[in-house]
Amino acid sequence: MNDTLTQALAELHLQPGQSQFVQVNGYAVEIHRPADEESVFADMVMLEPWVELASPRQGTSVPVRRGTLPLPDAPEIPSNWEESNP
Amino acid sequence: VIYDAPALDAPIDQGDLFVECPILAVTAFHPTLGQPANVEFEPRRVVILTQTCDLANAKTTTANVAEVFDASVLVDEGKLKAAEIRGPLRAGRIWGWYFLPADANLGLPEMIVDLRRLHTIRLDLLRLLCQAGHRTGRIQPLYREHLAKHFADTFSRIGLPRPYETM
Repeated sequence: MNDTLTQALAELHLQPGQSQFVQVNGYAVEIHRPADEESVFADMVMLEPWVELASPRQGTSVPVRRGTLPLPDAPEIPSNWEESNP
Repeated sequence: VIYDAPALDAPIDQGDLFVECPILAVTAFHPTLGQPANVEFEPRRVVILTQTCDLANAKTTTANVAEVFDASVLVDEGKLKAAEIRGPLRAGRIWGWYFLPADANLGLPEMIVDLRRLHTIRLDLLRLLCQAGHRTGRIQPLYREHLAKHFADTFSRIGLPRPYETM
C-alpha cells in the first residue's frame, strides 16, 4: 500500500470498531478499524442483586371458604380526554 | 390478534392469562379478640406481570399477577360505561386500567386489567393451573411490553398539585 493511500486513510480518524464505505470503480469498499482496544468497562461486573426471602415458618392455619370478592372500584374517567393526546 | 396459545408444558411467562386462579381476601379481622381472620377465596382471571427475564432465569419462586375482569361484567355492574371502554380506556389513558381485546379462537372476551389488584402467586401453583388447562392464552411481545409499560407508568408517575398555568 503506497504512502499516499495510507495518509488518506489516516485522515479518516476511524475509531475502534468504526467503518467507512466508499465507491471505487462502481463497487463498494469498506474501510474498517477493528475494535482491538479493550473497553474500559471490560473488568466491571454488572451487579444483579436478587434476594428471595424465606417463607415465614410460623403461622396459623385458618379455614378458607369460597366467597364473592368485590369488583374493582370505578376509575375516574377524565371528561376532556382526546385520542390524539399522547 | 395479540395472543397465542402456549403448550401445556410451556414455561410460565409474562403476559400469560389464567382463569380459575384462587385469589384470597381477608374479609374480617378482630385483632383484639385474638381470633383467626376470616379468609375467603374466589377463582379469578389473572395476567402474569413478572418480567420474562426473571422467570427465564428461574430466580423467583413466585409471580406477580394482576386481576383481569370481563369488560361486559364491569359494564353490567355499572362500574364502567361501554363508551368509556371504547374511548379512554382502550386508548390507555386511564392509569391502572388496561384494555385487552377479545379473541374468539381462544375464547377470550374483551377484558380489563386492574393493575392495582395485585397478588403474588407461587409458580408451582400456576404450573398446576397450566396442567389443568387453565392457562387460556399469552399476550405476545410488543403488546405485553405495552402492558408492562402501562403498569410501570401507573406507579412511577408523579402528579403535581395542580397543572402549570398557561399564557
